[in-house]
Amino acid sequence: MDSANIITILTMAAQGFGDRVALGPAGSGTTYADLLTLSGQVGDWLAGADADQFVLVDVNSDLMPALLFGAALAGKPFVPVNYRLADDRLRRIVERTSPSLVVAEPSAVKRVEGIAGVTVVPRDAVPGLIAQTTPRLEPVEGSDIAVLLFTSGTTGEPKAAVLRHDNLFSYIVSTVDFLSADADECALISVPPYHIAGVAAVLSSTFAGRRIYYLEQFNAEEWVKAAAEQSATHAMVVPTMLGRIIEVLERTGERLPALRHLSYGGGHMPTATIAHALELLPHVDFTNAYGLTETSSTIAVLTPDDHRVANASADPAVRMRLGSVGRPIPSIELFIAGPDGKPVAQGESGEIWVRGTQVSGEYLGVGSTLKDGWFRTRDAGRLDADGYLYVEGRLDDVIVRGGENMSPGEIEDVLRQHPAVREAAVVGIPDSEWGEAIAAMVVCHEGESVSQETLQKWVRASLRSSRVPELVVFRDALPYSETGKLLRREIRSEISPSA
Amino acid sequence: MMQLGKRYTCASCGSVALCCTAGSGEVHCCEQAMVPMEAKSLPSSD
Repeated sequence: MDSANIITILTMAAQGFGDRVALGPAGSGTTYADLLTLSGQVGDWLAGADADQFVLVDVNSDLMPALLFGAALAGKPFVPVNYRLADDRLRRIVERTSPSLVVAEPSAVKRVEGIAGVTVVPRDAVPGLIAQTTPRLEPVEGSDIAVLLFTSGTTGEPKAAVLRHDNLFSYIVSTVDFLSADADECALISVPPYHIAGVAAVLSSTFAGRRIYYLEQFNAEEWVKAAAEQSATHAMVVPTMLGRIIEVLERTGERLPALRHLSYGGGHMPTATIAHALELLPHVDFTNAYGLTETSSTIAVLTPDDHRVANASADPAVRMRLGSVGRPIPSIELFIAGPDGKPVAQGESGEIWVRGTQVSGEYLGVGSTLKDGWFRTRDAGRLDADGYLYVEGRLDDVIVRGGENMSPGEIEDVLRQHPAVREAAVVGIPDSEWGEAIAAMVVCHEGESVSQETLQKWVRASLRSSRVPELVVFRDALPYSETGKLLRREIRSEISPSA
Repeated sequence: MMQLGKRYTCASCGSVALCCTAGSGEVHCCEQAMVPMEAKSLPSSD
């Protein structure tokens, strides 16, 4: 068969339910038929451009899906870039896409102008530029790379993760049922376009026939307001977003009666936060989705039923599953590997390895990192007896103290259970005696305080003494990236500047 | 009749086909008609 192309997702939607609103307000938004025409116009414009890559430096806008699908029609990789990067880092990334065509948010145009081989077009100018084109409805023969996403590596320059049409198309077909959304469903999207969840949201919603409503960028008040006004039925958030949304719901009394389904992922969700959300929104189905950029989004899910069973259970082992990411999806193979690459004994910690057609594990200029199809996620984790996966954090974040490996997440969960503690992050810092020592950065609830000694006693009461933080520092906030990733490197260098 | 968006599988080799354009007729693999697959029951995660 011909290679897959993600444009098929949209042509099927236009064929099956072309009159449905795909994007924007329910009454006046863009239909799937219109979105296909628009994408065809973008595709024709791009196909004629002197560019190998199509770059987006922008917040969310209703243009995003047509740009993604238009690039697929033009046979050019779509490269959404983090517009929040500092100027020099943003320019270095855009330089690497040359020769390229960049669509930029009007205020970002100046930041990426004047790079050799790079043409910059303000987003506002796109409708005028595509107005005179003839919609191209068959893909041009070109690159089989659908999307390139620059990942924030722990060291050095960011790497560009390669997602081929095959990866994304197989992900959608194996996780979403065509036209499975009811006509009134609406997904509120607030994750940025340069995040894998922002790309996957467009593809999943289109295949399911679910209207997309965009927030330019996340803000808890705006999110709650839009969810209420648009009667949003679905949304995906990262853990820090959910914490802030809950604060707004409590303050305003809004309970979002139309909301049916809230999925979360992109970082460790504190068990207290999700338990609180389940109480506050009993009418909502919660799903925890675990995935990586390199796996085309979700590879494991904790389903709504899993949430309900765990939250209602008196059995600690079942209740603990609220802190898991559920079980691998059927199209994914997964195991926990030891340092030798062989499966560890059941229940033991190791590195999460995955395999499946949606798994890319490939970087531009580096090539595939897969061995026999297996991708090493660099995430530490373990599986319980029922196959539930617990993600313990990045392998690089595992603390090795006196030869003993420990995951920050385990200690953080205990710290967070202290009534005065709002947030906690645990890192390893250099230590002459133990190799690494455990340090914690803690944020207290407003008006609360607690001493280092009290927290040390608190941890000692539930974990082995080797897991007690030697040092606890108190701050007003923890450093997060805008997609909710805890910036452990920053914490480490702040606590121990020589690290 | 092939139904748009429906997935079909081969009972012999396990290959899966997705109907991208509705039409009459049926899809064959390993010299037999492929059978429609049940809808998946995965919750929305994006």
